[in-house]
Amino acid sequence: MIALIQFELKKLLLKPRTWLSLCLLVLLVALIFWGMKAQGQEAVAYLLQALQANFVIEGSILNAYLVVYLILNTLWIHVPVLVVIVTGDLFSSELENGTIRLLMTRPVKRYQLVLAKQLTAVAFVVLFLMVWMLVTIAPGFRLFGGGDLVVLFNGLQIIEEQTLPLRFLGAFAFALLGMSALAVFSVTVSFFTRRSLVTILITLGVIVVSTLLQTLAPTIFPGWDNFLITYHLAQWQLFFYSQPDYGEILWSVGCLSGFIALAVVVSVIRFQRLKITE
Amino acid sequence: MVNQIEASHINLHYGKQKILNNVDVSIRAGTITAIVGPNGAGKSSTFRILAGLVHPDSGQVSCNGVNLNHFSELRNYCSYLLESPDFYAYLSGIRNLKLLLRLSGSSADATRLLRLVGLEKDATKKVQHYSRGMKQRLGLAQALADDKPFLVLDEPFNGLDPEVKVQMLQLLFDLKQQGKGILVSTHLLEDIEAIADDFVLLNRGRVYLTGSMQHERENRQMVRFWFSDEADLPENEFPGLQFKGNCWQMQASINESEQLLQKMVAKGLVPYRVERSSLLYDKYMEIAHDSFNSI
Repeated sequence: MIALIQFELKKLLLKPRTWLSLCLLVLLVALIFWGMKAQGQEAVAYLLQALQANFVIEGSILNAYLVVYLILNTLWIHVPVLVVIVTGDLFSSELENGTIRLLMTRPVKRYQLVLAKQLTAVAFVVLFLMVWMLVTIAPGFRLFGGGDLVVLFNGLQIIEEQTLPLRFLGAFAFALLGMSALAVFSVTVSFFTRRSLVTILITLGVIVVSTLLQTLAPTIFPGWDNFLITYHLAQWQLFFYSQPDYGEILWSVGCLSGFIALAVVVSVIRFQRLKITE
Repeated sequence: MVNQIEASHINLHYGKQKILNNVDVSIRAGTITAIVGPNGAGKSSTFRILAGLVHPDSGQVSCNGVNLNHFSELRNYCSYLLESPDFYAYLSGIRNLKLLLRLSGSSADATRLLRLVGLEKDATKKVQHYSRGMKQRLGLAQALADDKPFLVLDEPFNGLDPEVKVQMLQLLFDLKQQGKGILVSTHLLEDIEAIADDFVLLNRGRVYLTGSMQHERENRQMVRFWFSDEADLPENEFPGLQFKGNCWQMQASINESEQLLQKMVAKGLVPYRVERSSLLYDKYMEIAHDSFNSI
């Protein structure tokens, strides 16, 4: 099993698609930095002009924490896309290219291959988030400096600077769990579709539809939010309430963990029955 | 020491279509068993089942007479080359091979294996630039990497240049001499007849004919001697030979054919071509002809 995981990790690191995804991530962060550096002050002043009439604002609201917070908002669409283009390809490319036969003619059990693929997907998410944090936090502080975080999110949230490192750590850890759930889901979908592109489109389609339903849920389907993956994926934002609701965060952690476990079980059952005719 | 693998009563459906119907195959150590049959006969499906890629609807598999629970357990005893092997296109040939060796826990030398199949010069080239024949050779290299007692090779000669094909046939023969049991499917009847010990002829998912090549060699079959000029062969010296269709022909075993040929050469009569049909060839052509007519 260890040899199989090493085999999968090596392939992941040697795949051009992995590095393309990471390069696009760096480019995305660089563009946000550039935009914030060029236009950030004006944008923040415009958004906070109402506040400035009532509050005395000392220091710079446009600081590294605000920029990193804005970058975390790429978790809605951009980051899922960049994660899924790699993880959605992990298994389906083996079927598409016929290399599954090479793997399955080794002394490898089917459930072992499924677990190795799912672990590799999570490993990619870990790598992705490490790169993300690296290119976001250090350059962010160098370019924008520190300060309190002021965000408009369900009202005005003001968070003191000294509590922010832990909150961001929590948000990134939550993002790791959320993106892992998405990655595992995409690998599971690939056991049904057999095609990379179809896997990626279905996974992203689920995100889009789930986001749409989430918007409609409070009015049309009250209480249904809990069944939507995007509802739980978005709970990293709870770390940026002045008073975070840790009970709600833990509930979403439980839901996402359960979702991961279910997806792994489904993929094992599916692959045990799959006829490899490629 | 595993001496024999037997797969019996294999049945397989894809949807409503019956692919394999009560197929039996066995491989013995130190022998080559050839599976032959026209396209769609069920050769590749049989190989996929033996590799554990497809679960049959029913069927048993045993090693030395001891039943195994699943066909996939054969992977502990067999190395495989399945039809038209594919590799990780973004990696070089040697990188692919090294990764696979590591996955199998094999200590074989990747460079030596590539040399064995004549790929050492292209070892560092990415597989995406490999031709079909080169991929086939890389496939053979990975199959030879594991020191398993049995080799299961589905169409190993596809896409190979004639000289490489001859080398590969020799390699299989050498491996057989070393005691490996080999199951091979191919369309190259003449070549495989030369090195195989047993054969299984499949047609439309059923075993049509099985037999031993030794028996085939001893059997009398039609032998034809073709001469560029009209050769006059005295009947008393060559009893049974008949002139028909621009050639001399008779029913003879391999040994008898060799003796006849030696006799002709001694008389200064050298045929430009000698043909010997075989039961396997005749039956193959018969079912191939039927398949073609049924289209």
